[in-house]
Amino acid sequence: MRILDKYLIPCTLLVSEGESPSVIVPFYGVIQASSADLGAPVRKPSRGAILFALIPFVAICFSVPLWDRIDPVILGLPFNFFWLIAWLLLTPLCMWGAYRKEAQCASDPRREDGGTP
Amino acid sequence: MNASVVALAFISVIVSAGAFVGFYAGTRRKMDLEQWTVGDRGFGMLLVWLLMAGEAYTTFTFLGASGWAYSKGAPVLYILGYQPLMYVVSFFILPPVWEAGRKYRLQTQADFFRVRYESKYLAAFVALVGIIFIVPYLQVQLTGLGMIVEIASYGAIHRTIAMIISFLIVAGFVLSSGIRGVAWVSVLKDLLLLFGAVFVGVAIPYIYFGGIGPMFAELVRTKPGHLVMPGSTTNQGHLWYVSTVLLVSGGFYMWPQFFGASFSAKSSDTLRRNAVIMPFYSITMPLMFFVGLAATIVLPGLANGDLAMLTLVRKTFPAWFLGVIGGAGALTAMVPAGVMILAASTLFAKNICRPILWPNMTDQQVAKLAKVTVLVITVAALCSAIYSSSTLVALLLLGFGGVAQFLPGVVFGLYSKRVTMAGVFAGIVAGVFVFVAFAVSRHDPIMGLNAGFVGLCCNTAVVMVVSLLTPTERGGFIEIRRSDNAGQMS
Repeated sequence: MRILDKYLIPCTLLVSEGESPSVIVPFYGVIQASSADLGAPVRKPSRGAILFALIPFVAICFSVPLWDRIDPVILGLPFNFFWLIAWLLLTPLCMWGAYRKEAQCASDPRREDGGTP
Repeated sequence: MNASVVALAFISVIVSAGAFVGFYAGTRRKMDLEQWTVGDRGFGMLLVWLLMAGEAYTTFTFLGASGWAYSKGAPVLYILGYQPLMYVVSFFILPPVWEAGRKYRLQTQADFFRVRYESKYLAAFVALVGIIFIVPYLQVQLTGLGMIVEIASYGAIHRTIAMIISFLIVAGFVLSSGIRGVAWVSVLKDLLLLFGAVFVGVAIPYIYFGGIGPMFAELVRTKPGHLVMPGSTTNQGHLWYVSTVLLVSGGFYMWPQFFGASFSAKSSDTLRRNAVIMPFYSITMPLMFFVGLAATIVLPGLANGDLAMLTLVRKTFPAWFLGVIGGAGALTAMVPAGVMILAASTLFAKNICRPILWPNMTDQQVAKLAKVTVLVITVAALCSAIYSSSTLVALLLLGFGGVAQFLPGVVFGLYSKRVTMAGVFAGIVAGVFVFVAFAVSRHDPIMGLNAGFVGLCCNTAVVMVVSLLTPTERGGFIEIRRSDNAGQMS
């Protein structure tokens, strides 16, 4: 049953609106068989994506005592302003990494980190 | 008087253009409830991006951020902290919410709770709490709109009258066009906002100080304490920053209107890619801080910091330019207000009236009721705006402290098998109670922490404890999936 979960939940997530209902119905049928096991409706995010997402949280939120100061002044900005503006630009980079990780796991449900951790 | 006529004429032209775009976008399509509230789930990346940006960057961006930079200083940096992080959170929450929304044809945030926890009473409760906390947010927009017209008319038009006129227009285009009209007005608004913010944010430091660098040099010399937390406040230091950033970045997509807006996306991948690129849009935010900081030196001693930006623009630029900025500001109030009214009225009609009060209503009657509610809610927020005098940021944080209490119910609902309806219900009650108790007794921040965050922690603890004490539920998403399946088979 655990294996079924790993295989099928990513599959149903991938079924897009464009596909014909006849493709979807068999999936529903199989899922129905294992539904007693399935409390949570969605696949958990991959560990890689979560690690990527933690980077901006640490840099922007938890490390505030380290960067909340005026010196060094960079590009005319106090360091705390400069730091946060820089992370406006760096956060999308991290999340692009997370996006790639998620896309990888969705397309390859057999990957270990694509299932429930 | 002449200057005020010019400024007001520009504002009227911009607002009328916005209203026209809204009406036009709405009238090309036939409207049922699904089209009106979620745009038939057919929005691509660009339109969802505009819709989300349109809602995320509100009057608050324009006036509240510069107002806080003026009156409080560095604590305003929490805005630069939460904005990128709320998209990080949305990356993990919105795509699965959208998947659930498509499978079970969810239209509102309360629908999510109704289906996941199989309780129409929990759904009605969530809807009610959502509507209550939308009112202060709506009030932010109304108050901002009033300020803009008041300043632009050089005091000739009273704020109350300005608010009434503008909100008649908002209610008008919400009623006729639904979410699609609102999304397209966002296009106009965003162009103006970008133009206005970039120009004003660069020009004002340049005119008064010779550049952004020299402006900061001057601030470092005269008011260094203003530039690091807690700035010009006594109780908004690092703990407050961390707790507020966590509360707001987690709570942002718990606003019923933002949660509901995700249903209008074409696919969950649209939402994921959106979450990746959205932080770039926040780049206009620091420019608003610069204007507020410039005002601390150029215009010291304003009683209401929220007026700092407009007053400085009026002092620096010709009247027509004040009109353009005012018009952009008016649209940044109207667009989000439109979406909020839409969300609140749909919640009321769909999740409170039909399931609880009048079970026999048809879809058409619900749609009609939603439209009547638009007017009721608009008037309610209008009254509340006229009789209250909080600052914009204070109002916004009041709303956030409330809606963030939905977060445990949504996250556990998506990713946990063990969470129960009773647990989520008790958690929301506990979280809202703790937050409101601290906020009303003026103990926010409490021991350096944001009171909403303290409420959220209590909430999460209560959800866990009560869920473990109540018997396991199978979870409504699976039940519905089964009955859907039966329907398809027959």
